[in-house]
Amino acid sequence: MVSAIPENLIKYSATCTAAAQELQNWVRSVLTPALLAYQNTGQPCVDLDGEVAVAISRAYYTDRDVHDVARAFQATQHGGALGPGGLVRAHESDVDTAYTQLLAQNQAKMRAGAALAARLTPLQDLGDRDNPDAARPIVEELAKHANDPYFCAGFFNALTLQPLLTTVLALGGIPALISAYSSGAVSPHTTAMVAARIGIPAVVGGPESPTSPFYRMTSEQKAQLLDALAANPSAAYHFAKALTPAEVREMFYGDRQYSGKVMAVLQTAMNCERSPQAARELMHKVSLGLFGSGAPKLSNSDWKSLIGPVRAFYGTGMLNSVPAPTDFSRDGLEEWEHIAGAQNGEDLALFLKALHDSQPDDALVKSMVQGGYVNAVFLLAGPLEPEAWGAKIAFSAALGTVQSVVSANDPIIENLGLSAGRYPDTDGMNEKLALGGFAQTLTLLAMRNQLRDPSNHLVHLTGDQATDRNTLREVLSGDLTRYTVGGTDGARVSELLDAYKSQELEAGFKAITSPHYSPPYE
Amino acid sequence: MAETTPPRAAYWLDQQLTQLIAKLDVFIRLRTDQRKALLGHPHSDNWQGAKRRNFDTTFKQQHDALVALKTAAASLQKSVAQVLADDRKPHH
Repeated sequence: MVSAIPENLIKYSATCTAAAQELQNWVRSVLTPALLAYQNTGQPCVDLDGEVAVAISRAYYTDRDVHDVARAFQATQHGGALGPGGLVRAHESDVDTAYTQLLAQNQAKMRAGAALAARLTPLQDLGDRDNPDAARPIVEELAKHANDPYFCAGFFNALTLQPLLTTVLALGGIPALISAYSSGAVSPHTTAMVAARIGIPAVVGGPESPTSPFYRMTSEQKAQLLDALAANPSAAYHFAKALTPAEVREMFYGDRQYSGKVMAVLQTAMNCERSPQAARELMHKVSLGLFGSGAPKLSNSDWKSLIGPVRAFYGTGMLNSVPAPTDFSRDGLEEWEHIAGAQNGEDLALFLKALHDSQPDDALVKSMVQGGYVNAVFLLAGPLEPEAWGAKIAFSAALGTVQSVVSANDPIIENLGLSAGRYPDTDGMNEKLALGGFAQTLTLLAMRNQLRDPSNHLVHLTGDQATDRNTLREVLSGDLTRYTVGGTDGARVSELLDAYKSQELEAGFKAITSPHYSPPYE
Repeated sequence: MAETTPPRAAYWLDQQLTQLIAKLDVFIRLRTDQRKALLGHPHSDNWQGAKRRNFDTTFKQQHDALVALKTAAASLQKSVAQVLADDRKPHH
């Protein structure tokens, strides 16, 4: 007999394949151009990017296969109950048989999908009006397989040209594309085409219009595509993983009426991130795409409609990106708060700069941004939470605390709505808002039984949002010099707050005061 | 777009090689930590059997290859640094 905990294997596979994909994108979009530019100056040719790509690809496939092993273990139970902690015991030969069957099934499904797509290729040169219905039966056949992610992935990966993709989406293939993404097997080439399709402005007309080619998507279809991606966490996650910063930019700025929906897709993806590092990488990718070098400038009126979804994305990202502490000594904790503050500030820097640049003469915006309004991004991050139990408690508690400490008013939106001067006490409000990211670090400490009140009792979190919110609020509004972390000789919470805030504000300040600021991840 | 001059391209590549080494390091550590946390030791109940043994063997090879790439990146970075140093020398 052999054993496995399939859930663990699935988590391993998801985390490591996502990281591999992220790294592969970086190699493609940053390292390769840097090497080429260097070689173009007469330096010898180096294939380091190729070697890195091969090594990452090998790791990717090894880790992806772990997911199939998990499914094979699950298949041996025939839907029966699992042991304690999700443990499965089975004969090795049964696992092997199930594994072989699974692989063969997936591959066969992808081949079948590709074969169906091949029937579209001869139609690519036909004028629409000559043969407007030729593609329809093929897309109808695809629709029958919409619940089969591997078939759909095989189909879309075999489409090589943008008009073919558009034709399929315009004729009802959107659910099949979403299904394909949930398999995690969609190729980068297909993702590049999908991103381009989202960026191309939608046209009036569509499949039924006598004046438009049948392969044009309508505005409604484009909205449907983005809404469907945002509604499917697995699809949004894999889609976002495969994007490059340039593709994020193309989608966001290509067709402005859908920028908010693009952000909703990215936020769903952010909510699925399983590690602080991955959350930061997604924030960096989106920051470079939206606000990096060469990006279009957003005007004050653009911000009015986009501030909500953009803030929601960064709010979720910041809450997901604080790593857990490991060293509970005084120095260790201060160092941890320093790093968390600096990273949060750095992750938000381009966003803050863009917001600031949209209205440089407005004293209140300037004061808000410079004074630490960075954590205003927390206000709208409510409905989405991380999946992991521990992270979820920390997330809800921090979010609830910030929402209750800060009034129901929304200073940035209010300001854009011409209410400048409404909040004269910006210093006081800044002080409260800056507590947001710090609240998250405190919840992580409390969950590890490291936070003590003035009577030296441990501060506990329960998992109940209302209770935890009150607990944290009590801490944050209390005398922070009397709360301690990490035992009798540990650090005072007030010192940790200083460590966090100074770093966070420094990073934000650097961004908005340097005309040519570029973040370290650019 | 302005033409990419040799020192500028070298400087840019130097920065990206630093990034590459850091990113490879993060990736290597992520795989190692996740493997330890979720899959346990090679005989753990978390995952046993021939497929686990194959996985461990392949994982080790891939781990070594990734570490070697860090060394290769550092070595290339040295040549790039030399190009930058040569460029800084006064030209006669």
